[in-house]
Amino acid sequence: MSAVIVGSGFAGIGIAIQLKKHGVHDFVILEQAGDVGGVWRDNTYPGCACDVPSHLYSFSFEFNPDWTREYGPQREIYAYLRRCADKYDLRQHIRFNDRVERCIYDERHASWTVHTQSGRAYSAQFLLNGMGGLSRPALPSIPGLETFQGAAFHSARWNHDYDLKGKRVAVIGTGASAIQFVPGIIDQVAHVDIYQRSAPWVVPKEDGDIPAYRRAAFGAMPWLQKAARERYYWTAESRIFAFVKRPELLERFGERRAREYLEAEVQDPELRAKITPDYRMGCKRILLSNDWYAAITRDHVDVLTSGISHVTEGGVVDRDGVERPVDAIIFGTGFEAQNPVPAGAIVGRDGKDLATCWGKTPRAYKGTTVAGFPNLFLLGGPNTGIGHTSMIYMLESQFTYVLDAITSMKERRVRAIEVRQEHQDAYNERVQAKSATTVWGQGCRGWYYNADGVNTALWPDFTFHFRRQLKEFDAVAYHQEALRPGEDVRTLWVRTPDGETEVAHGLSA
Amino acid sequence: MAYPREPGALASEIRALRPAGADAPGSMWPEDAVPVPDYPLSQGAQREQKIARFLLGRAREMLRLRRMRPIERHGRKLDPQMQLLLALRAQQGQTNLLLGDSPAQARVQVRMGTLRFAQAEPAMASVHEFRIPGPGGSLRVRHYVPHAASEANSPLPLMVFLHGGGFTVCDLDTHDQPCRTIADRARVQVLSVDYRLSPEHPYPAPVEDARAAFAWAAEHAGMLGADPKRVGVAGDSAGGNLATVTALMALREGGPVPHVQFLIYPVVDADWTRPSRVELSRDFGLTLKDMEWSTQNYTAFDEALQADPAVVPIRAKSLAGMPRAVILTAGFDPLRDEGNDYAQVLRAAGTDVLHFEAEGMVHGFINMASVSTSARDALQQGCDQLAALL
Repeated sequence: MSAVIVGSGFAGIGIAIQLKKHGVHDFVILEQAGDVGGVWRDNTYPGCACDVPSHLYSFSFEFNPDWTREYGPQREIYAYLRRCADKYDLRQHIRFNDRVERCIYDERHASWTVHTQSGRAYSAQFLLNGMGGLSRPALPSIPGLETFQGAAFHSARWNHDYDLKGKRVAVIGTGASAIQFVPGIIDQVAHVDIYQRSAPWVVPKEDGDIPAYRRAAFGAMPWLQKAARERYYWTAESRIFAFVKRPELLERFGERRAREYLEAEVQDPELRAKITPDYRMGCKRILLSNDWYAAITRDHVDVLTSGISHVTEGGVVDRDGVERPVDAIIFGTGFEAQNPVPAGAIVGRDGKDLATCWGKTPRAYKGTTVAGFPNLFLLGGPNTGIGHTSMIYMLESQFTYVLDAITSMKERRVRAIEVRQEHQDAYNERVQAKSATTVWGQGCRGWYYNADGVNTALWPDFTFHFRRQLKEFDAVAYHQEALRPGEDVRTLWVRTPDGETEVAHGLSA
Repeated sequence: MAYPREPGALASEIRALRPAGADAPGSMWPEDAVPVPDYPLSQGAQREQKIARFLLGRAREMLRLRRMRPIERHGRKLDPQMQLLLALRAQQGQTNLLLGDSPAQARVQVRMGTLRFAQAEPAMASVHEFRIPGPGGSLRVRHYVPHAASEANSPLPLMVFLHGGGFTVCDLDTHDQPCRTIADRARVQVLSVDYRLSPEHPYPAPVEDARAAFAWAAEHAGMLGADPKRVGVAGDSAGGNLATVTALMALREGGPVPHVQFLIYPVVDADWTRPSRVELSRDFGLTLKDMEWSTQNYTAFDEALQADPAVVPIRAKSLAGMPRAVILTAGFDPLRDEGNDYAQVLRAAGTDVLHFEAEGMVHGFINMASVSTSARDALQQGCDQLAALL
């Protein structure tokens, strides 16, 4: 068995650790940046932290007793992933600073060939795609942006060389990133214009330091940490009941609580009106913050809701024609979640391009495999996202499925598997039927949905249902292609301009 | 999935399985043949299968516990295992055998249901898949060689198998276990055909595919290591229809005629007033809705076709010269009467017919052999008759 893993975030690192634990060492990890960490490496903006408790937002097979806060800050999560990579000797499998350009399925060898920017081509039996849906920043196309003379950057590509002190700043977007970095910069800047398209539902974050004695106790007694993790999981999972089964409860309890919080924090009736959401709570991501409202009620902050018309050399013009001069524009505009795979990046059987096949509606079987794309596993694929609990739980469910698939293939001498189209369709019909009755089936817009309002991102049910479905590889839903007598599966190969060589255990250059 | 061609990759392996002398000059194994991997039973399914076998092994006691009386119709007693299986199915809300929201969904449901407990048993000397030419593009076929092949002194007969499923559902995998049983028990090679399905491919596509597959098999039996003089057709339900229609058309239009036909509860008529079709049209697995849905998919109730022997072979003006037949019907099957009648009609036309009605069985029982011993026994009896006729 051999594999190419794309990306070294939680998905890539996690599956690599699991492969090693199961005795599979024949893999490389391709990473476009210079270090592991994925979004936790890229998002370095002030105030960046997780909005899921860290004892839950971490691998179940790699506990960290040292989280200093309930909701771990970015630098701790980043350090955690780096530590995981070191502990399992993953760095020798990783090819840093080499971006994946094109992955092509080779039917003859039942293997994937992955071409990278450096001109190398890696080939292996499996392609494990750990490119997350929230890895590619989405930038709005605003007329005149190219003429802007000041600094402009996306929150996930924060420009730390630019000193914001005393500057006038325009912030575009009020999503999960903006509500963290605006409070983070508010004390330095001279003025902030926040351009809001739709107001988020914001609830207080029950955050706090984890005292040293508890950290020590977790370190000494891992079972205690496991118990804490279980508690976090079930607390989070109990919330999903309303999302899935009784959306009206979100109105009665969730919205009321959020509205009370808003009214307690914001006195100005005009501002209140602007930042009160006009849609059902839960159909977009609910944001957790204790300092967002405090930040936007400051005197040097304006919340603008009329939309942006265009950008000039020195300012932003809103739809009402008012120009506001700024020194910098920061985009808190999120990610290309609806286009998780760039066009031309993954080409399956018969030259089919994954992005083209998907169009505006990404679909997979159990969020993991796609008809027409043998031996490809998506980690965090369509309809595996969640808004209420840890994404790591979903990824680990997929790890189990992938490992069961590849070990069962090896045992039965199967060289390729491909999900049957009709099984993929039936699965997605079930998911969509389920989604329709939840809060995500109520006609919202946002990155959970495609242009037609179809939920393509979220898993619309309890997460333990997802895990149960992925507990074992269900070969019955797949076309299987057997190895011929005497034939063996493709080992890991790399082709450089100098020639083609087999890579022992993914280790050599 | 298409398989890359590596000529002769398997030839030596297959040659070892052939009886001495079968290797005629110039014969060659299909280049692209590949072994067929089995489907592992999930741990959950293994547990469920144990439970199902346990319950069915004690079907009488279970029925008494559920206060269910034995069912009798026209002097026939429903097998307790069948009765319990039907009750368990009904409990899960499955009241039809085939029908689904759409053909695609029905295929998924039937496939998952049938393969839930299916195992690659009995073991074969070899199971391979390859493609043969067909009128609408190449046809996938699966070739079974039983262990008996290496023991036999002469080449085994070859049966071309056409699976059932109302012309709409099922595939090579759903009928893998029945094919293995036929090959093992009747000591024949089996060539199972993945013919095109309705409604995407209505009549005559499935018939054309069945005929093309038989013609190919008749020509290439020697190459497969089988006896070219003994190439027959077999099928269950809709596949039984295709099997006997293949024989009928071969007879009428010339070309090789099947050596024998093995028909398991075949669809041979379009007469909806036959007593079994009326009285057993619900509660016994195959329902009136299933049959209407299948007919709709296959012929859209076209009036001319409802009288065409290529759809309803029992309506043929003459069945003289039809090959010898083994007909296996089920006592609690809506298709029982037409199957039984077909046996009479063939006999009257001068054909040797071995007819066996499995009194207590329901339609589709050959797919229940992985949990029900009585279903397995009934299929084995049918296979024994086939062996006797070969």
